[in-house]
Amino acid sequence: MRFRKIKVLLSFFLCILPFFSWGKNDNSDLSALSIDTNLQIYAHAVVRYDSTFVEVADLNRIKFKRKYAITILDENGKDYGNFLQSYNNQIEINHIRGALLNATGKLIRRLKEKDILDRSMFGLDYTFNSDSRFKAYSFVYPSYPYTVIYEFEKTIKSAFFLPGWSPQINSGCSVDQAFFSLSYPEPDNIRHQEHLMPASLQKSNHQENSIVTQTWLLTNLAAFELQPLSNPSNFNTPTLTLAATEFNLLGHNGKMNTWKNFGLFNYELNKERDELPESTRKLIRKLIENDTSSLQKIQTLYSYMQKNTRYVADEYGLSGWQTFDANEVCTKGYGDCKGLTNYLKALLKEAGITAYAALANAGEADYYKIDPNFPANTFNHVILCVPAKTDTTWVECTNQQLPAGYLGGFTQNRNVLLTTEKGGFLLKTPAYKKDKSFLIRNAKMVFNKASEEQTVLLHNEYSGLMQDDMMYMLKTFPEDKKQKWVNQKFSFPSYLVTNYDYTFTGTRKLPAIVEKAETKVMGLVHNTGKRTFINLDWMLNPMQEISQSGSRTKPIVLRKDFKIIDSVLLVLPEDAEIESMPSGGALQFPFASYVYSFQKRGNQILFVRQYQQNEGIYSKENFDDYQKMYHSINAGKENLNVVLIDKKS
Amino acid sequence: MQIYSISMLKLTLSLPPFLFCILIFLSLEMQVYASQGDIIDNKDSVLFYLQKTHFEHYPDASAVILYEKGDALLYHGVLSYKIERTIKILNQDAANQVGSVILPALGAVSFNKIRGITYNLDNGILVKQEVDKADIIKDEVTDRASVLKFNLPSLKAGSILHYSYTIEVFAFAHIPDWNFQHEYPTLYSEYDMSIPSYYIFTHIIRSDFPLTEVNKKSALDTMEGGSFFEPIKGSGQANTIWIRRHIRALKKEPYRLGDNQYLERIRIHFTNIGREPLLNTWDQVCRSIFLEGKSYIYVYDNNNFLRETVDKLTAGKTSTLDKAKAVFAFMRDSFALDEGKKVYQLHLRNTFNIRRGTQWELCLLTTALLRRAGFESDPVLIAAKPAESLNAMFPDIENINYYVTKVTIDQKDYYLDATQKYLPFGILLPKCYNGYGRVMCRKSYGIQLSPDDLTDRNVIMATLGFSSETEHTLQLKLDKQFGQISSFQYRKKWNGDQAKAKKELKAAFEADKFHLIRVNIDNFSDPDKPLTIHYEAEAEMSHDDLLYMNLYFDKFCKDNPFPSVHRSFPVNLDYQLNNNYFLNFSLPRGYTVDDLPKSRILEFYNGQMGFKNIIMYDTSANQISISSKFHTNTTTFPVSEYTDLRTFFEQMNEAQQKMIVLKK
Repeated sequence: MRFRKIKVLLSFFLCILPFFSWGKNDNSDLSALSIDTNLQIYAHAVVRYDSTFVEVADLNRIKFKRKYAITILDENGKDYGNFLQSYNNQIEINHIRGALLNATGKLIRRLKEKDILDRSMFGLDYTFNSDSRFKAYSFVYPSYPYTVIYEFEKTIKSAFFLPGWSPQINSGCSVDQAFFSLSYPEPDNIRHQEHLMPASLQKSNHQENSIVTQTWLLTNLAAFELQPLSNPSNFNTPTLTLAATEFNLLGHNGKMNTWKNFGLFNYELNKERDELPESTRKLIRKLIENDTSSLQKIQTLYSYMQKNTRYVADEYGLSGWQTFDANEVCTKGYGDCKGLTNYLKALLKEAGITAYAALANAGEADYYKIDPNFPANTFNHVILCVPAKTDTTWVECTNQQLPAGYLGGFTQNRNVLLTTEKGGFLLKTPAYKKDKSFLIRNAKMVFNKASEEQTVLLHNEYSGLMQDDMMYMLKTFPEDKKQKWVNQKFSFPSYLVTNYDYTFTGTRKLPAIVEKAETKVMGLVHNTGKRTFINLDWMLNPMQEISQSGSRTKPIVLRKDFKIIDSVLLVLPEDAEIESMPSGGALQFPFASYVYSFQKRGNQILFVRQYQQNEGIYSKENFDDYQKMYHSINAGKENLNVVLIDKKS
Repeated sequence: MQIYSISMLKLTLSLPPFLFCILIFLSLEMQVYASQGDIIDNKDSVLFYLQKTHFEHYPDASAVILYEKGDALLYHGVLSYKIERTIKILNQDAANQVGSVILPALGAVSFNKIRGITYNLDNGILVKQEVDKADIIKDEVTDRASVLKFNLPSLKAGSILHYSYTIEVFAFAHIPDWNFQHEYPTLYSEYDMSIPSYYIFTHIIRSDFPLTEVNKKSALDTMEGGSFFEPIKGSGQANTIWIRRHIRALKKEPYRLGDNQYLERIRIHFTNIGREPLLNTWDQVCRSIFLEGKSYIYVYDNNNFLRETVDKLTAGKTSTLDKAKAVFAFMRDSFALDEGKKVYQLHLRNTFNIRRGTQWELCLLTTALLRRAGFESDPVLIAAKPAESLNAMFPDIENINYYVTKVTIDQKDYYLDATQKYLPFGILLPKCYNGYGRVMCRKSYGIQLSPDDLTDRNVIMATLGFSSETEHTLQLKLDKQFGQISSFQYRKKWNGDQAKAKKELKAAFEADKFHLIRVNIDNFSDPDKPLTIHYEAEAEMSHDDLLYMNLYFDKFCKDNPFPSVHRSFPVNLDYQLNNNYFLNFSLPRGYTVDDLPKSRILEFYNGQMGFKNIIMYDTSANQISISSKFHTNTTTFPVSEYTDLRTFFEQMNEAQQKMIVLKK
């Protein structure tokens, strides 16, 4: 029965595909004129067909074949027509073919292999050395629409690198038909996971002798308008991810059927690489001789490492996965995340402290959220974890400024895989929510009616994630650059900082910075014939703007959880006559609250505003409220004025 | 490595900032602390600098180049070019920035004698650590380009690093440029050149200190800058040394010309080999390199294959200008710029047939089409910003990086660039207005493309009034007509995507009190017409006794573009500005003006920049009108005027923030 089903599906697929023949000059079935109108809405390109076949022969032999045609509708779609495939020592690319058709499907020219750019990734990403390369080609053609067709094969030498399938490249691209076939021998070594698949997805499953073949067919996927802050997952378009159960990576066998096994593989791959030179061991013992607690020792050794090493990414071949020896990092004074983590682990070991490497997917915004139910190699970073019964310490080893025990926005609040001798364990890194990540600003302005320039004294406290960027700048910038920065960081219309001071406060696990500044500000006070307008709302809107033209159909996803409290004390001359002053207001919604008030006390006016944002996923019905709050805060620049009147004029 | 500068620049441009810095660093040229030699040759000097944590004259430096030297030896058709550099690291950030050394190469270039050493103090003891040969990595970036790269070991705040290498390459008459100035201050920089004595050269030096020629080499030991020439007896070679001491770091600033316009540097150009003249003049360059090439025949003679196309394009056009515009529009709209073309072989007929080409090919084809149509037209060689502008007196062809077409119609010159989809006829990209350009024709001549030739005129018309249906609704109509540059920039950004354009325009709409009803765009995709945006918006009207309103719904600039208090370089704008804002406001019935800001006129730098803000209230019509104009008459403002320039923008912003007050 299963056999028949796949046969039917394959036949159907082969029949409906407007399949390009490399020998034909006229391919009217790929004419751009025949594209369904629905597929052109929001689209800059349309995938006419995409057929991908993945054949897993064994752990070290995987064939990947893909042939696809994309019609480029306009100038904004031309990048979809570029051929770009990466490869490395474990992945070969062969048999690249390509053709360019005009709007009616007439062959314009074919890709010539000698024209393909073959380039290493050097200079294009963060790595200093790696085996990653890519092959690229672009048919440069001035008349839209046109269609490009590509066909190529990849030979993948390890099931560690199984490809995924995501035929709808992004929101600006629609898909007419896309087919994916996965075949592998029994026993089953391949797992898959579907994401955002539409109800119209057609699937089949078939076994012939010991070979299992599974297929997926997607049709009529329309392009769509991207809705900012709407994605709670890792994907925006239908995607199939694959992961091996067992694999062999450059001679090292491993399993990733469970997080425990995958963690164990990583542990085994990296173990016994933590030996240090005797001179360093001696030094370590001396460095920590006065430290009484584990946390002190961690801090001492982390600080030592920060001062004596720097980050250099070397991911060539196995070194992309296996750390360099601690001895080597120690001697050379540089290493990548694995190397530096392993080095600190070795330093701590010498101090009698056990630590473990934890695999993470790092990034402030678009990090890949680990699915506890689908073990797979989705990591791009390693941090160090020093477990303790009550107070586990996390350490980011590639950063030369952070205190030990604080991770920052790069790796906070996510699942990571701790790699231990007992296998892997998913753990959550600390989250720095609004109780830890906040900004409290206090300003005082003594109004000087004799001048357009006003003196504003600032006393601000930045805590947790709110101080991350500042900490880096304050610790690395030379004084002249710092001065330039401080004269550009505040959102006054125009100003000069005459005096400033920064103090690092907080704790090792939660750093904070206190900022004091004296500023001469222009543009806060505006005189008309008989009135003076003093604007007190010079702070930036803390909300992220959501700009979309269509109606909201997706939820609002807020990843940041923080609060900002601003207080501005305006001191007026005794004889000042206030004509008007805002009364205050409040907007409170599930996702955020914004409250502001004005209080008059004698000749002083206190303006207080508080914004709190709550991390979470909120239904699309909150969209109008979100926009209302955003625009309401923006309007403060015009509305939140204290108006003084001079009745003598 | 200036030897391969143009192609190498393309490689370096794709690198991340930190690597790019290093490459730039490497391409800069050299000098030393004490003329006796590198400090690493003297243990006491090394110890002295290892202990040093602060340089009095460079208090803000993250690193200081203690010594650098370039040795260029041209001998028997081979250039041997040795670089040595010694740097003191003062903070960790600098260690990260300069610790990875990248040596790029194109083609048959060999790197030899690569050496990298880090010096540290360990408990007061000097520790020297060399880069292992095994850690020098070769990366075949493409089939033509490669890099050698290595990391200095144990580099940290306080370290001294030293590296040196030698490049060997076949070279007939070329010596690399030498930059004395870098991102970090330099204590000593030296360039030694040894060439056959029958090579005659000229040089262009840019230095804050004159490099006076001395008779004795030892005289250089005490000079801030100098040079020394010495024929080497019996060898047939002649040596020249240039030295420079205490060079400040080159600082980045906004609205500044590119680094290469300011760097202290020396550039060598050979004029003769014996009695044989080389390419000494632009005329010779144009003639020998360009016009004598076979491919140019299509531009000037064998361009019959364009006849049919030209005839079609110009048919029915009565004026010569319209004919030229038709030819230009055809090129601009029908051809694609192929920036990644891998195999370069000029063949205009092929370029015409496949409808794509490099910037150079499309420039030549535009010229050929115009010539075929009977126009006087020639290609122009230029150095687009941020490159250093071409030198009128010196054929510095390595700076050429862009090509445009000149056409003369009714005795007026127009400059065209058909490679930019959204550029109108007669306008070039702002980066092209970079001084000298060379018209390439049989009687080659120079032209000047000044940013002062380009003006962006923007006009905003605002009408504020009340709905005829209800007096509770305030209606705003805002019509923005962009100038040629702004139109180009917006069109390029939106790239034909009107939905994206409208979304961005809505987001950028400044009148937050208003609810935007609609946005329309005129001439969205016609580069030859001004882009015009029409906004319609409404706001609910309060009926309080007093109404406070700001009537500038599109301000000339939201923030001061010059936030920095200090300035080291002149301010250079890419083009002149002429912005106009007009508003008419019919007051609601029952309201009259209670308070109005005063009109204001600002002038700066002898009237080279001005702002005139006139506010008038017509009591009989109960109408307020505003005429606000901002203009520049030049694009260059000296450093001495910077504070006033900053104040000018403060005051202009302030004027457009002012409120009016209406009362019942």
